[in-house]
Amino acid sequence: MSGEDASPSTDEASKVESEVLISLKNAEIGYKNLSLVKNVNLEIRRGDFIAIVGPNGSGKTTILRNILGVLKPLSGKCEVKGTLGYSPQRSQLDPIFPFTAEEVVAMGLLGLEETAEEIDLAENSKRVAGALDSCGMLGFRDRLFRELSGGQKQRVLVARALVSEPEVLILDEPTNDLDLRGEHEVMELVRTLHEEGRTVVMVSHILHVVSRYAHRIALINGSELIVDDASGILTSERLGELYGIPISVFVAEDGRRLISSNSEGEVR
Amino acid sequence: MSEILETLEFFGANYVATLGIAMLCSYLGLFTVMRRIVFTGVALAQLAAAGVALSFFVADATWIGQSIRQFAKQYGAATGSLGLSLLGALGLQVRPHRNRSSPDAFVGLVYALASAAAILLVWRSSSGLVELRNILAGDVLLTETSELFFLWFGIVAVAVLHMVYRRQFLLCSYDPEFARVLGLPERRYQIMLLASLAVAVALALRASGLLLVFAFLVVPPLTGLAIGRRLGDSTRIAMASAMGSSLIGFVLAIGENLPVAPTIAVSMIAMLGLAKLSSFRAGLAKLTAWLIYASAIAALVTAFLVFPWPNLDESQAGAGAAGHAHGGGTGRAGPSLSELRQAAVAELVGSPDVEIRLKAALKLRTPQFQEIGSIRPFLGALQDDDARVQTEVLLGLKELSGLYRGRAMLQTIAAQYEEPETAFAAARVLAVLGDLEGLGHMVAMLGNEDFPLMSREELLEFLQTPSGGKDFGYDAFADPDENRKAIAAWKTWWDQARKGGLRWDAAAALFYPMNS
Repeated sequence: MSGEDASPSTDEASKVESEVLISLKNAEIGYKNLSLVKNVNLEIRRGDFIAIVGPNGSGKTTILRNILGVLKPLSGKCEVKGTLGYSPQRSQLDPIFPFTAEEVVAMGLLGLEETAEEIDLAENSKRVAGALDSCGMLGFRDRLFRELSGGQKQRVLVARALVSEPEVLILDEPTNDLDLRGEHEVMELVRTLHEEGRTVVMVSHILHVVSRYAHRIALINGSELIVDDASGILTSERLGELYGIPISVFVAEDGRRLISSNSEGEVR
Repeated sequence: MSEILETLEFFGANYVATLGIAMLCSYLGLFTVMRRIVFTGVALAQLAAAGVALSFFVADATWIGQSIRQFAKQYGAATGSLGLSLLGALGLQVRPHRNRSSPDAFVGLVYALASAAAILLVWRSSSGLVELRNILAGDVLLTETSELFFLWFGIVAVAVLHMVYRRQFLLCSYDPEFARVLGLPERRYQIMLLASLAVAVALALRASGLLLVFAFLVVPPLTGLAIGRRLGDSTRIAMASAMGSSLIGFVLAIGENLPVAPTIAVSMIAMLGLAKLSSFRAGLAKLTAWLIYASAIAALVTAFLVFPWPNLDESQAGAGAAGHAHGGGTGRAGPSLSELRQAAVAELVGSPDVEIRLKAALKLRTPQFQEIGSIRPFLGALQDDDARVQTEVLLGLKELSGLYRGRAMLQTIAAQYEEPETAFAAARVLAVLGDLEGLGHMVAMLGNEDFPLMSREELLEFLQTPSGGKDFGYDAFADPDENRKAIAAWKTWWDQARKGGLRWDAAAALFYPMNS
């Protein structure tokens, strides 16, 4: 299945009417002369919670960078109508900089300030406090960013992405290297933000997290992008074929999925 | 202490300029340290040094048009250093792709190229080489008023740029991709930041030298980061420690007659050591920070005291004569280095007061004043009545002869027989420094009829030590025809002596016959 899901669910049918904030049309994604994903057709609508998944090096982050405008598609179109808030991977940030959580969040306002005619410092300070508060990090505002736990750091980065009040929240590997508690805290925060009306685009390779939280999943399968809900995408056959190892997918009663490699060589 | 302050007054304008450079470079150094591009700072400084060398090369190149050479002489050092470092800043922005070679390797390549070019370009220029030596060794020099104006203009311009764009520079350093996502012209900010570093380094280089510029870029930021909790604290501590160390360095250098730049650098490192030791206890770190702030306040108060404030009353009354560095009355920052050197030379050769002559000799020996132009006055002062002055002058000559071209200049003077006493002094200095050519010059002088008789008598006396007491029948007071045979014998002796007939006794600073 290539491009948009051919048989949308009832929920998705209702979304068809909603506004398209991001759209990739016949886009070829890559960098320099290296093509990673071809013929990408993807529409992200207001209120979506979509996860882009795939093996390492498949082009997940490259798609994200196209959406963010940092890269351009090799061919085709990538159109973004909504405002974006971006939370990068924590490992990109050098701990030598002694920034406090508040200072890190305030960085998110620089884009607005660059275009604003007048900067209201009091309003900015209020916004920073509000963003920290919405991520449950207001009490940590004066703590050095590098001294926070992995989960706390990620929440600060989400607050930084939110401080400019964007329409779409874009998260790059938000739960990488987090323990279970950190993973839970971050993803529950993202879920809350989504429930409050934000559109969420997330890149991850942690499949059980994706299956639990994302409403739609865009899987990079070789050089094509397949978009569906978790039940359509995260099957043992498809994942086994994609990763080249036997994979088991267990579905619990509440719909959660446990995905693991199968040491006995069975594909179930 | 008052004597030290008095001497510091002498260098007032330069001391204040050093504080400006200290503040600016330590602030910018925080960016280089946190971005882990310290080596880029050094490469830019080396490029600025190569720019200075290029200006000397152009000024000396006869195949280049007169107007260009004149420009190079007047403004070449400033424009050359600024131009090359700015080009370097742009070039380092387009470094090769990370996967093919390490970015550090490219910076290293630029550094090696700039270092080699700097030396090669001035290798044949005596004044350029001295200037480059000062820049590389890191001597805090007195600079001309126009250069100080240029320096302060640059310091203020870079400071204003950073006041306006500090947060943008920080974001582009910390998270460049996020800056691009926000729509900031990240590339432009990166270039502006590196260009501001290049400008600061180029301006600071000629006033403070490579060593000090590099030390300011690295050591105070490390001190700030060691005990400053937040970036604001780290910045304040870094700038304060750079200023405090400058004061301590100047005072120690003047008190102990040490070169200023390395002394300031060592003071900075000592402060960093203190900061590192105290960083393990919050209370101690706070105390160290306050001590550093106190040293910075002392540095600022000293700057206020020693700065050559223009004397408005005198300047309004039209008192225009160039005066002493402090209160000269002309509104200029102070006399130039060459003016101060000339004043010291005049004191050395002309003052009837032995203490003044001694101070002048000491002053001309300090790294700030050391220049091969002092060789002639030193040679003249070798005949001073006072043994202490003679010793200082001889030591000064020894130091100057160690410079490239210093030895060559002594050789040239020793061959200029129109000034017999100076020529003899130069030949004697060469000989006591272990240079055989000094004896050769002396043998040649024996046959010169224009040489005063007394000088020839002295020559003979000196030559009798290496010849083992022989005079070959030479008589300074005899008829030239009678000496012809003796002079031929001396020349034969010299031909044999230069082929290994002599041994050098370093302790006695004399040549002796090989078999003695």
